[in-house]
Amino acid sequence: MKQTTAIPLADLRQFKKNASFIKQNGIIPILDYIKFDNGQITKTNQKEYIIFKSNFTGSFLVEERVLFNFIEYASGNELLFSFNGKKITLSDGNTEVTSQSEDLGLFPIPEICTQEKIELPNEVLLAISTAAQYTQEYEFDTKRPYVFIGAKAVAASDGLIGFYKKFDIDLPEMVLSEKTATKIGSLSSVMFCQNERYLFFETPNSTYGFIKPEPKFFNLGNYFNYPKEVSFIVNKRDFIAFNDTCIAVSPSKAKYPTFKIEGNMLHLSMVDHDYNINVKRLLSVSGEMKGEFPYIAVLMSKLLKSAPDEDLIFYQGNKMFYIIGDSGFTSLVMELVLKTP
Amino acid sequence: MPKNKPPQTSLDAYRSLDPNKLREVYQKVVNALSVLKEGSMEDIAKKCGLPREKVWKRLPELCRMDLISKTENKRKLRSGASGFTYILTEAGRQKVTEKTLEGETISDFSKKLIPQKNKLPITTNSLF
Repeated sequence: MKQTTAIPLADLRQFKKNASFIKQNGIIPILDYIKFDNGQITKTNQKEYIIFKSNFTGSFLVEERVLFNFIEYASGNELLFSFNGKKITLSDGNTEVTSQSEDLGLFPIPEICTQEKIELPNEVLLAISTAAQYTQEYEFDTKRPYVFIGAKAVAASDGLIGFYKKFDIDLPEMVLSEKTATKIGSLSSVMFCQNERYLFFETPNSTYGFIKPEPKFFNLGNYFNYPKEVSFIVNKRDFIAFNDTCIAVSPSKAKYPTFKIEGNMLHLSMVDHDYNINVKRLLSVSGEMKGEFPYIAVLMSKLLKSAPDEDLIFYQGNKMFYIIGDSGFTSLVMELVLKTP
Repeated sequence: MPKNKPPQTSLDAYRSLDPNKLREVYQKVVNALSVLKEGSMEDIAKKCGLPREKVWKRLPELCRMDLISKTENKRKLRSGASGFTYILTEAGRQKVTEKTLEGETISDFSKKLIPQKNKLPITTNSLF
């Protein structure tokens, strides 16, 4: 029996954009298809999925490559889909594409959450997005590649820099990969729930599902109990400019600046011995510190750029600095052990 | 996709494919070919320590992923028939994860001959 339905082109383009994070591995052929089913458009690779809500009737599969490329060049307000059980035809009124469809029964049914949903405030989503920048891919590691949410906080650390943001509300305990955290952090008005295998995030027009990573929740909060005896305040803008200069002028991969306080000034310095390049800058500071602190320029730059505050307080700890902002931004950077030649 | 509907047992097996287990087999095949350089399906299975049936199904998939490629060479199989041999592609060589042998490598030996610039010994304190 032939089915014909019209779907707004704007919806299809939004779906394509929302679904772009899901990559296919080309192994299981049915996953190369997009499922259209009475108002729901689904894409999945069985580890992640999206169900997008639109207004149409009918049930059929369309090959992703055909659909997404047709959308790219289509014109008009809607696309017409005609399905006769074996072939699917797409038309924008000018161009028509017919391709092979597949048995709807072969398409995997995504798991749906039946648990109670909890709202994730936008501040939490922003913190998740920031925390994702502090992760690092490490094979078989259970901490560095992940963002940890729970114990009223969002936290992440690659072992060299760390991010921690505390909230007054209880947060559901979950572990997110960098990819998931980056995607979720870009959303707004999210309702969350989870079952044994999946994490579910629902927005007004889409439901996202992610298979849970293997590591269990780890409370990074214990690393952020910082001492307040020795500290200084500095404007981040000038500090960022110095770091970016170090990264840009030196051809070598190793950029290890140091900073110290002498005579109420913060002395920033980087010496690249391989290429005989010196970079120096003095910044006004209020406060004190002990000794000299070497660090990795790229990591410090990433940390400072993620801070929403202009002025940051540096609290000196044991072989690390805690960098705090009035907004509640809390981070840390580890000290290098740097020996001069 | 075949025109006739596949049998239910095939569909069940297809649905039961576990991406994690598949990845383990892919990695073993890639590592095996990095040592063998070129091998038939049986050579690869023997090197992986896996049954032939587990390996031969994955070889076309690895070809599609452009990690291995089928050559025009053939080798005699246990059955008496001939089978094509496979080699790693450039992309496949990037995926090799086998451990190196102990002892000094040619690279280590060569580095000692080259005068070293002033290098700062660096270690990082790590949070964990």
